[in-house]
Amino acid sequence: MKELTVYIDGASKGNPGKASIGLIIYSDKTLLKKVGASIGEATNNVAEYIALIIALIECLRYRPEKIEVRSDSQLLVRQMQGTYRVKDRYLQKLQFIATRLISLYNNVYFLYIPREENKEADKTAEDALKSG
Amino acid sequence: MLKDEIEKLIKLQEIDSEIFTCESFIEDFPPRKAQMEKSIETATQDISFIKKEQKKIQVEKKERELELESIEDEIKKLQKRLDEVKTNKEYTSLLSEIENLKKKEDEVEDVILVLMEKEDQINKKLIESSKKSEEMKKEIEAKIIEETRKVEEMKKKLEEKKLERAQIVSEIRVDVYEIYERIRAGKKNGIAICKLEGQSCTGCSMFVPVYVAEKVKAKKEIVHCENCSRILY
Repeated sequence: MKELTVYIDGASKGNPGKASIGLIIYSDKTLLKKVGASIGEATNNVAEYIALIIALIECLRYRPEKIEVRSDSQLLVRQMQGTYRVKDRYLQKLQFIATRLISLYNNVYFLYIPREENKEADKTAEDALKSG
Repeated sequence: MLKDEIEKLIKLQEIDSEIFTCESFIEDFPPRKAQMEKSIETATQDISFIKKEQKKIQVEKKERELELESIEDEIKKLQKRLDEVKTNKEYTSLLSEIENLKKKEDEVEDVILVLMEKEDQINKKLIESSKKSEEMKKEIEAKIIEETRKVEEMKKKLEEKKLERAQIVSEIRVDVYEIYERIRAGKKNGIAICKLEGQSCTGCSMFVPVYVAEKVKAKKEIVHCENCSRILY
């Protein structure tokens, strides 16, 4: 059974401003994929959601049984856990896409982690922001 | 011969310039160090300000979350009571109460979302600022160590140069030395003797009349710049 751990992060300089995403996919402790990409102008929250969507798309190829998405965005985690509603119209659309993607998997869990534990994804996003 | 005296004055001036540089560096170091330490202190203060702000947001969010929880509990209780009411009036009144609480729940949730976003941002800011502050602190501490070492070197050099100076002063004619010292005392940078380049004084950059330039070339007497009164050679 393949279990994936996915670290995601979105960065925005200016909020909204030049934005990027970073995501790291691990199976056990093996690094499977690292993605960093510039996404143009966006808010932090939009960048976080896009990072999640890209991560869920990337995970498809591994046909995992379980995915644990780790993020330092409380907003995204709590909203994806269903604790809070999404009020922003644009975020609602992104959440809809994410939810549709989640329905392709059996088990997707969300975990809020402190920023210090999300350094790798953060760096990947920052590097993409600098080079993008 | 005056030519020799001028040569000695040039040497003396070189030593004095080095002494001046050493003394300035040593004198300037304490305020420079204090300023560098102040930068570290300011950065530390900034971090503690961000931490305070973070704490404030966290406390406020916690309060709102508790408020939300209590509203949710209240809604549940009222919803249970819906099954127990006997009159239409009571039923309608309960429904309206639930509706009002749901509105309140919505408002509190909005506030929590804003606070959550603020907290996410301040967490990011805190990490970035701490990293920057740590780098700056290391850089400044290294600079202070380096400059402290340089100050010690300068102190040593200063002692050597003072000995060299005493030696050369003892070899200069007293009247010539007195002229030199009088001019030097009146100059901010301590330069009392300077070269004539073309027809300009390198001390004040002013043009020197031809007859003065001729006297300088002749090296028979001590010649002063008519503008800054430095000795010319």
